[in-house]
Amino acid sequence: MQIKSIDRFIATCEAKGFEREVNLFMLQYEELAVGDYIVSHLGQATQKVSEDEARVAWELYDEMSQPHA
Amino acid sequence: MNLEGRIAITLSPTEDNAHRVAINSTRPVHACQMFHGKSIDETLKALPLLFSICGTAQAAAAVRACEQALDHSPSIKSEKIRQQLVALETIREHLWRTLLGWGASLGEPLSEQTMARVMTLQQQMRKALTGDTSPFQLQPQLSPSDSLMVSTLQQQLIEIVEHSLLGISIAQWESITSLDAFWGWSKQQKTVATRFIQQLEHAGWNHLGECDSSLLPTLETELIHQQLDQADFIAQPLWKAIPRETTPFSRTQSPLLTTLYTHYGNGLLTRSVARLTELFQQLTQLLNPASQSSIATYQPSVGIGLSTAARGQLLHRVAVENSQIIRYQILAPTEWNFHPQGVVTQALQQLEPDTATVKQQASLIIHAIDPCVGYDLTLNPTGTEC
Repeated sequence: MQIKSIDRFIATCEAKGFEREVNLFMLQYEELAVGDYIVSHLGQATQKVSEDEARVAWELYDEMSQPHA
Repeated sequence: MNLEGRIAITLSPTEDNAHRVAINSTRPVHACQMFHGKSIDETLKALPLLFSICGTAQAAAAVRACEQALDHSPSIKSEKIRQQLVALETIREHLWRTLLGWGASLGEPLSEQTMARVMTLQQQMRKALTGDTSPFQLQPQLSPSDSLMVSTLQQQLIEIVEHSLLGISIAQWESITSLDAFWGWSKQQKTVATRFIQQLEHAGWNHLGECDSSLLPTLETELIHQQLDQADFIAQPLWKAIPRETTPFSRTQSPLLTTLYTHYGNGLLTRSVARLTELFQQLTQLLNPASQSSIATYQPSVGIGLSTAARGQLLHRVAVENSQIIRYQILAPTEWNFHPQGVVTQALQQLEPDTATVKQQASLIIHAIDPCVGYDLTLNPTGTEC
């Protein structure tokens, strides 16, 4: 998800048009800013990823939603 | 969207003062078909990005499966680093479940600052172990580990768990083998772990969820390949027609656990102490972790890779042709443990319906076995079909 805004440890993040609040508390070792990409689990940010990594992940998610033979 | 999905658990009371349990999963267990037709390198790079909490264990199982399919042998150093990183992930997950999960169960302010410190130490240790390189690629070129830094960070993690969970040193904890010594420790020390254990004791929940689950044994090569060829196996696995459990409880041994199992069976208390025990064992063995068991090669160009994720055994199977993946399968511990007739169902069936705390009891059991995804727990007091 991409960070759209940050208020202390709560970020509003967006992915594919959906917005969600994510707690950044556990990623205090990362410098996080608006525009960065994160992975979250049950509302907690667990990992910062690069833009390339986020793109690769989303391409795979898009493939997931396609029917497979 | 992600690769994880959710689990719906519904409890309905039965006439014999127990529960009927329905577990329905929306986990997209066949989603890894998306890797069919992709290169091995591309898959190994992308796969861990799709898992938010066990990405390291997934990456380890994936590269091991690919190495076996290609008949590559990893270096001893690569495998050791992989094991260290998987152990580090398991330590983080157990600390998350204990510091935050047990704290929430007690209604205490959560130890978020401590957990955030753990996350920072984990990140620093990953960096000290591998620099900017990854051991989860074929024939990885790894930077030398900063052993002194790894050792220093390990010591800092040990200090956190001794202070936050034990109140004594890990060595002192490991000398506790009798019930008297165990209950003495839990009463004398004031940590989130001892308060959680005392909560179980005071509520009479030490045995809660005790059941006759069968542990997942070593998988026989020919049989596991045959099973993986069955269409339904990945979604609802059985081993020799029996649902199996793969959890910290099923794989952790210590004299204290033997004592607790003898007195309390595989109920909540023993499961909780198994989690603590594995946490301490993995932490103290972090510099020289145990090697991962494996399944022998069965046929050319097909490989199985295992890793011991925090929640249980993870298995990947891959078939390759001309350096491309033609089949990819993942069998995750959640599918074993949350099988409709599996250990969670068996444990929840025992709960008495007419108690005010049945939902709390069910949540504790579910968290003790721990799905790798979110779940929804519904009580269906009328017992009507959902």
